[in-house]
Amino acid sequence: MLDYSALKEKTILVVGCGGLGGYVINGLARAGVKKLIIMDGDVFSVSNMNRQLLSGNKTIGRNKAEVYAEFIKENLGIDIECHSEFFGETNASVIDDCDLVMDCLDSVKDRLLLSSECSKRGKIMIHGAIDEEQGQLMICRPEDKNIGRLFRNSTDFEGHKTVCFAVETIAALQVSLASKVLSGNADEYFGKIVVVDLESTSVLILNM
Amino acid sequence: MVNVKFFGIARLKFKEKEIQIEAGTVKELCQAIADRYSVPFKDVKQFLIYVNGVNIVDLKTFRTPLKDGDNLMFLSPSSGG
Repeated sequence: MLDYSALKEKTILVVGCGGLGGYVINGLARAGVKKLIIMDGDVFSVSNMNRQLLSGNKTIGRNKAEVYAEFIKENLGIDIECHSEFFGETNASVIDDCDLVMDCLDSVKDRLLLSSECSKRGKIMIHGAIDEEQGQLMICRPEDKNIGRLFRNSTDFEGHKTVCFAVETIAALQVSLASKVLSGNADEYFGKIVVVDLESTSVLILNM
Repeated sequence: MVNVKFFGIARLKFKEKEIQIEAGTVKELCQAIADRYSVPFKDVKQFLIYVNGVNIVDLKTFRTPLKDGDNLMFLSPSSGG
């Protein structure tokens, strides 16, 4: 039986308000979290419009975190704290104020930094990533070393196009995993990687 | 022949979803893949590799023997968001 009541008392940090981040923010807000802390230094551009939820003619050039914060405050009434800056070592203390961190970043380097800071600060991070029609998710506990293993010697893949429905799928699964973690029902996913392949319409759960 | 499925960046780089190839061990398979797609062996070794759903770190890593009909997965993670 699904029980998301635990979310009502929780504060969740979403790092990255692009493709994944936008749908994660939307999903968590509508699921009824107590508070969201969102962070992104980027602005919307025309190239975002194929997949980023609040990108559009009226938001081009505006900071992504500010646009989402405004929308959530005006329409859903969820408590939301906005950081219009990129995540880095100098502002990593933002992690301390949350119960869970959502990795919605878009580069290997930034993800590894976020993961490292979450480990240091004792926070669980839900990793999600997507390229074209494939992606993966992982629950990263502070003691896990799986994100390092996952991305060892990896670099970002340039020149690809990610489709909206793929972004939405990974984001939805991230919100689902977050709900499971916060309600204490995620044990079976610890130490695993969830591999999503929308080209084959398949989801695999494998040991890391 | 073993069946190899590519996931993530591996599929985007090699532009193939699934192939069949001859190999007696995971190491031989990695070399065969490197040769087929003209990429360095060390790059192929970096992928997450599964034999019949089991991570090779839980088997004999690159010395893991393979037999006809085995199903392998090579995964290189996405990083986009």
